[in-house]
Amino acid sequence: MTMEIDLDACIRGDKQAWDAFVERWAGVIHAAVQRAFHGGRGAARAEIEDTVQDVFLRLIKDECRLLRTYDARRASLATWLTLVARSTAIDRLRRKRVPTIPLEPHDAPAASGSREDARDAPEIPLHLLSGRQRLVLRLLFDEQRSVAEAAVFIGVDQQTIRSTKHKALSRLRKQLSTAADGGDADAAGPVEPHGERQS
Amino acid sequence: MTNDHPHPDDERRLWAQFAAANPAARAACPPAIELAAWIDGRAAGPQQDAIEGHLAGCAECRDAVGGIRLAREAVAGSLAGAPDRVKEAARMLVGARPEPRERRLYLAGWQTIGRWSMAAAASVAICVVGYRVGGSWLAYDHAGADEVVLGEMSFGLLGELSETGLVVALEGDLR
Repeated sequence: MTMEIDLDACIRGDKQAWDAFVERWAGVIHAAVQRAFHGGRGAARAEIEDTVQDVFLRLIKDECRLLRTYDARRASLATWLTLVARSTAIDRLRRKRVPTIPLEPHDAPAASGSREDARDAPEIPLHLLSGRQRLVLRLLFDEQRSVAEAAVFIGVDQQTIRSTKHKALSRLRKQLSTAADGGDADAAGPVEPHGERQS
Repeated sequence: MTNDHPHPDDERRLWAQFAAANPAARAACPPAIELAAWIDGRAAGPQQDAIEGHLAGCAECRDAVGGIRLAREAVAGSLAGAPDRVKEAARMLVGARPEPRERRLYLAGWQTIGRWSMAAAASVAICVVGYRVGGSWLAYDHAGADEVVLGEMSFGLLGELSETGLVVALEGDLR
């Protein structure tokens, strides 16, 4: 069932519109918060419900500052609210967490290779690979995801993942062999967003 | 192509070299609406590549995307929804919200006028009561002692008192 919710009316403070909004989206927000907590270390029911209230409060705080940032032309309300709910839950978990100092940064080079790699790393410009190529390799090699999982993560088919990986590795090979031959380190040139070479 | 079936370790090493040469720098995460647009498949071109590049270097945002995909599946598969008390509490929030700005300004204007009116009425009441009480006292105190006109004496005393600031408000009215 889909219900049309007048967000502008919610922003104006229309009680009826707000009640309809709550009725329609409380379930989505509740599920997202619950999921975020269970993904961490779990939480009491009361804590989940408090966090759901935090989400609603965050949406209307400062004359609906956050709710005003939503743009229906750019994303669905379900996805946007799920992100906001998750982020609220994570913030809450973070506030409760005892502060610790990580031994290594989250995305340190050590996650991808050995310290030896880092020390002897040849110059490889970041823009050699597109954002998607970097993401695909990160998912496959650092996070050990399968091609199918990476495809679900990015929202493309598996063949796209295989092809992106293949192009990315070809570029890296070419770049490294050129560098080893003493050629121009940036010989491969930057790529277009989807792995095509820029003219 | 020099090698049709590269060894997985070789591929991993290539990526490791790239990652070592480009350690992830902590960049500001994109706003929720941009990430939501990407998740919904509505981001395109440079915006899409920028988000994907950010995701490649930000474990937190990758966790968020993974979490959203799972959460959306959970929502789709769940008919339970939120408990009624949660919805009721959320509905109540709108009553606890501050009034819209225009309405607040309108109300604030009338409240100011009301406050000044109350203050003016109180001042007048104090003056009237003070004049009555003061007049009686003056009449009682001096009527037998000096045969002077009460009105003149009152004005004289009030004039003296006004210098001490006690009947400043009344002074103007009497003059």
